[in-house]
Amino acid sequence: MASPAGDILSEPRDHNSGEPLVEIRDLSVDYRTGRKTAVSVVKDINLDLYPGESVALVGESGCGKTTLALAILRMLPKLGVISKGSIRFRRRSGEMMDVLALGKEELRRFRWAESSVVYQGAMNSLNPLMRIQAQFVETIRAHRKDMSSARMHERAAELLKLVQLDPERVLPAYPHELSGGMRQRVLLALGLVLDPQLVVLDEPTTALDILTQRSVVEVLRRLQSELHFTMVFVTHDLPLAAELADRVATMYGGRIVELCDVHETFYNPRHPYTIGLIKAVPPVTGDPLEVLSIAGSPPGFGDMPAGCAFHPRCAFAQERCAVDEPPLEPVDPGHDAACFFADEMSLERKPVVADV
Amino acid sequence: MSQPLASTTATNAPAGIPDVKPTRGSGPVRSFLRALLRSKTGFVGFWVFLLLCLMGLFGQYFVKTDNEAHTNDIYQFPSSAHWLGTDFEGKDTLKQIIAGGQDVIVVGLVAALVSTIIAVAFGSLAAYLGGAFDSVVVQVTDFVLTVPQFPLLLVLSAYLQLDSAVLLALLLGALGWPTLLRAVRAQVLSLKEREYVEAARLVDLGTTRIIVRELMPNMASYILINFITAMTGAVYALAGLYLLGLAPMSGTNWGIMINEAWTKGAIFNSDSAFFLLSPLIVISILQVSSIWLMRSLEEIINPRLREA
Amino acid sequence: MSEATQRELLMRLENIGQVFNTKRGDVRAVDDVNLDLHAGRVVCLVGESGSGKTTTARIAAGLNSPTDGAVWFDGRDVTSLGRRDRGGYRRAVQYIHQDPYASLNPTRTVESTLVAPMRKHRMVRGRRAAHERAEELLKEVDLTPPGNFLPKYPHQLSGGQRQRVSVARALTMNPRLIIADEATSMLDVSIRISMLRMLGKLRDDLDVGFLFITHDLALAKYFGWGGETAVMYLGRIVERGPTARVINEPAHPYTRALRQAIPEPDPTLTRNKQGAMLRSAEIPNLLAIPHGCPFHPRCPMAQPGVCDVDRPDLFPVGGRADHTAACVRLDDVAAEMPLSEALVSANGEGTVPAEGGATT
Repeated sequence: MASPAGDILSEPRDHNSGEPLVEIRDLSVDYRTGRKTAVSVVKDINLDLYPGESVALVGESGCGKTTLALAILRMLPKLGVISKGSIRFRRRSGEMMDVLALGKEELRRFRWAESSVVYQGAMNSLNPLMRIQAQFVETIRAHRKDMSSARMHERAAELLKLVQLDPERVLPAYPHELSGGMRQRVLLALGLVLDPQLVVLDEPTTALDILTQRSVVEVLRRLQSELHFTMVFVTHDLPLAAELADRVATMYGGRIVELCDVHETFYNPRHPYTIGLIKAVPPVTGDPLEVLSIAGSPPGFGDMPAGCAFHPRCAFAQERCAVDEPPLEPVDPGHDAACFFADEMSLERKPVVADV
Repeated sequence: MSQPLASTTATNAPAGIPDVKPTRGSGPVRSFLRALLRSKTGFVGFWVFLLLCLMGLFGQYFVKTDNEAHTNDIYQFPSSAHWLGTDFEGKDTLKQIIAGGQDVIVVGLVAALVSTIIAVAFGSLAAYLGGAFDSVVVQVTDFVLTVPQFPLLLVLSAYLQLDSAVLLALLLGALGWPTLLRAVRAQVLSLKEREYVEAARLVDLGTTRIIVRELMPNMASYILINFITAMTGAVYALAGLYLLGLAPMSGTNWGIMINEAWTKGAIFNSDSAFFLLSPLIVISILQVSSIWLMRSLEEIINPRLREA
Repeated sequence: MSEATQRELLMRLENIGQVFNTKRGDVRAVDDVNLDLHAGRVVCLVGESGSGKTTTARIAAGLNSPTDGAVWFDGRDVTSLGRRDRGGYRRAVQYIHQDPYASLNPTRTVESTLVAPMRKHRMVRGRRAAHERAEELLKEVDLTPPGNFLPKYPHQLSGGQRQRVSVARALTMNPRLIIADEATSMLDVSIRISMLRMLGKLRDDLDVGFLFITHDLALAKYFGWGGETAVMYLGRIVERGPTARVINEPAHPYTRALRQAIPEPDPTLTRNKQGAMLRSAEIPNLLAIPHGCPFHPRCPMAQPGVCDVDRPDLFPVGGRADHTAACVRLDDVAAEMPLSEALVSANGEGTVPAEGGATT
């Protein structure tokens, strides 16, 4: 069931020990480009999210990670349409509910009490004309009319302390009086105020300074271990996944191309794209390692290559890759990859004096 | 979740949302036209405006100018012979409408052209160069703005003989530029901080090239909107002048028709409704179609107004 | 670094300061910055927001005038340059913007963007020659075949391609110094490195000097490996020296905190990193720069009575003249702020933990 409070040296969790919180099957999302045309942005996603775990959706621009994350809560922009598939969510009562079948009012209640979203660009997400205290009250009141003002104040203070902010200082302030890092943490607190089971974060540390990022990461880690919610976060920053994730789903061309435990992702990746991504990130610690770019650039939605979406950029591509699309299949227990030659893949990083 | 302000020609997609605009058809002009014609109001506005302008400019060459006066047929109701009825002399109204647009439209266009050229030239230079030049231009603009346009026209008409359409156009143009100049100046002030303008300065392209090639093309729709606004304003002023009989009263055109309707007592005669209303309606259609055209131009420039 | 002094000195920033007068008071965005930029060498300027690195870069590029200090180019004070020499300075020092989506005129094709400066400065005769030169430039920035890119408009290019066009535009001026302000921050991870490699090639083949601004220590380490790195905090340089030393063995508490704070693409390593141990995660407002050492309110090693009184100068680290840091407690830093090291086994590769568990 729920995983124990994790320590910093987290061990890979045994995910099959509990029942999933969210079950996603064959999910596809399209964006409408005209009255009758649409492009496919997310394709055939099969993913289970377990209670208390932290999953990273990793990929570059246009891979569909943000779309997928928002689709789980049906928070797609106007032009987004779920064209296929199902999303089922286990309520606190134990009953499985079909997220796609929810009506407007039920969806609204679902969206903050059972699950919540924390967007990137914390600057724009808080109402500049309302004090932080008022934003908490408004959020809580929209979903829990029974809470007294005093209790709401208490709850807000509780959460602010959890994100390492001083309630006395922050509650009476306006958003512009707080720094970017503080605002991001306020957003985190707001996202957790109703104790949701699932929290989706979109690029939680982008646009923050390094030291602020570190504090947000520590706060997230601590929050998860104390509150045991399931966390899905979208990021293009691979090292962030290494910090926070239990499992990593690498996405490319709208599909999940690799899904496994975080240690497997970084020490034993099996998909050429994941390998390429890891090799493209220069580490700070230690002697310089070989750093390589991936040739070409991510495909646009209009011109997805035939067969495996990655094959034009793949150093290991063979004839079959231009024709057939590799399915996401287990290559090791708990480790799925979408590559016909996954068994032959491995990560080798040679130390080299950076000769750039 | 609010999105950051888009640039004048919005080309990038906000993070996370895929950039799915179609990319066929290269130039900015073609994609602009396509965007314009995509909205219903833009489509209708564009064609109606174009047709009215063409009719106004060239209509008289297509209509038999022999518009006889039949004193028996004063203020006739529309019939198969006279689709819009007749005027106070029995002349066909429709023919007068088709043939009578030239003065109004030409004066409107020329006045708008004069206003726009003054506004764009001085507004952009003032914004780009800044400093003393900018201060002077702003002061002069504010001064001219405070002068009430229409009363000034009235006063001038008492002293000048406003019988030439060109003079009228120049006069209207000379009064219509201040608002436009401020708008252009504000736009250039914001554009000149753009990275690509700075990059042009880094490769030392020079003031003229920067204004003409870096700034103007990126303000093209904005300038067009201002041009149309100027024309709308000039046509309003013209209608007023004609009504009061202060504009050149020779020949026949929409303005003169309005004036005649007033002076020849059409208001007191219930049969004359069509004669009275026809020029008013056609001018209104011109204005409305130009507003529709402008609205969809604005939607193109400012994507936040669009449905997305 | 005696080798550096053998390369031609292109630009010297001497005691540069920049004060902005705002409604809420004077903001000292840059304070007492000294930098030497040589042909064919890289200087990385690293810092977070409010560090003054972008302002410094813009001063070096001639886009802003400093309120204090002087900028020397080719041995002459730039404010003393006559009109013609100003032009030469303007062309010799180029600047690459951070945002590839804003740095190209949307109404110009790639060819037009490249040819415009050539025409203006009469660097080529005729359209044919201009077209060929544009093709050459695109090849320099690895946009091949150039014929595919010349007729395109910016919205038809990807972010990485646009950045390369920006670099090509800078190259039309045959610059001697290129200032890259976070030039890769908005690019996808998988193409950042190829962009940096291209810049490195320009540095080696054309002997162009680089001032590389970034908040990413890893990129600074990678691009600036053979050169110098300076770390800025609240407008001042707090540490400088050969990149390898500043990043691998940082001396200043702030640099050490940065090193510790950066996530690594290695779960075991990165989760072992103990927190930055700073007393506050927030950067102070530039309107209220702390008295004494500007870092002292956050510094885990701050000594009351010392660090809040005097502002430290740059002291040599380990007796070396080329590596300096602005801290009075340099000798204790290594002990009080240990860094997590990479786990390196005998063959030089990172250790892979046994399946299913983490090793230490």
